[in-house]
Amino acid sequence: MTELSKGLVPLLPRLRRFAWSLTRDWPDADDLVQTSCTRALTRAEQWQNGTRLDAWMYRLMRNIWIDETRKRTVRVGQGVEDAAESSALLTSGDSETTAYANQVLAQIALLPEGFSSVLLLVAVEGHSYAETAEILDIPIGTVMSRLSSARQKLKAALADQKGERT
Amino acid sequence: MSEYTPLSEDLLIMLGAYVDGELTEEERAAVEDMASKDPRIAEELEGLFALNNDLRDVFDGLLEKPVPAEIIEATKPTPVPANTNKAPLRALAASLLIGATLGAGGMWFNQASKPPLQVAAARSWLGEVAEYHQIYARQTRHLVEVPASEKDHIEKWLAKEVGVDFKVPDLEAAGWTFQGARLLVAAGKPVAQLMYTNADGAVIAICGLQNGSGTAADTELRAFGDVHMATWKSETGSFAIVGDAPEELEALAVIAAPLI
Repeated sequence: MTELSKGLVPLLPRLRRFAWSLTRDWPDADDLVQTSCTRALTRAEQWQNGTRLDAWMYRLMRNIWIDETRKRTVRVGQGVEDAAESSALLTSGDSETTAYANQVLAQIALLPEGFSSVLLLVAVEGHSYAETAEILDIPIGTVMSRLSSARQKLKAALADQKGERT
Repeated sequence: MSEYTPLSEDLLIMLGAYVDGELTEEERAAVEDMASKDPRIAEELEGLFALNNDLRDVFDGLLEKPVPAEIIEATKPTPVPANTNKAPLRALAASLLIGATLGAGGMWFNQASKPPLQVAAARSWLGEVAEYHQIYARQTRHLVEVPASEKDHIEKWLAKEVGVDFKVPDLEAAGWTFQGARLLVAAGKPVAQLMYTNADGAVIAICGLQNGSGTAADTELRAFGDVHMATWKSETGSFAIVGDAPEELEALAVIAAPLI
């Protein structure tokens, strides 16, 4: 086992989560993780042991996904079918919590392309704006505006849903 | 409810940066000062913090999804046949394996390649369980799906899903505390996984699924890379106790087998 290969295994749940934030579709996310791991192993010499493997993998995954979306004639992530799929994302835990989590995920899936990864990296994983900009290869200003816009859209959508339920 | 004009985009970005810890001391003080004077800003900040909490809960829930075996397979370096000096043959074998990995993996990345062999065809449930263990034993915050406090529920739930009646073995006397359980799928079958930790924070798991053969078997030690396991079978179930230290596992299997 190489150092890289050893380092990848415990990262897999996070790599899949990041892949979902890019693709917002589980089969695509799993293909992306698989392809990225295979490619990472062929470029193992480019990763410097001791530096953050997660950020290196995220950049690799983001690049592969960008190439893939360019190749596809039909672009994903316009939100119509993704939201329906993501409603079946979580099945464990108590039902009320799960139902709410699924609503949040469905709303995240409906965000414009490129917004959910920013949310994940900054709000959930605690990466700085600068690190996030580097991983996603976008300007810091874009990180900030996407974040703010994603948050406002989510807050509004979730408030609407709460309003409908009561 | 909200009759006032919306906060400006720039201000919202600044409030977001406050929540994300991206502001300098002075900027933070300025935001706090604004919030103390304007309840709309205070409310907005509160909403942003609450949303962050929701996002963390929801995204962390995604970490619980079991990782498919094909993905775990893709993290392994391509095996090269040992004990041979026939370089061309070795290169051919390696290229076949790479082809198989790519073919099985990125359907949309490599449309033209047809997998010449199925590397992952003969995976045993034990091999998959060993790989799950490498992942879950590190998930200290998300070790289990259902906590130990719901032991009765766990026994009923897993017996129903897995199809084997069993009790959660009490291993306290041996220094292992039951933490809770998960349901996995390995080799296409539902597998119950009972997680235990010791005082050092080490993790072991007892896994069980239906025994298709119907014949019992004695304890046997196996190793899958760094992961070790002691396995045994009853007439109805196949079990494995999984961890890092083989000597201890065998002893624990002897304790656990009659209790399960």
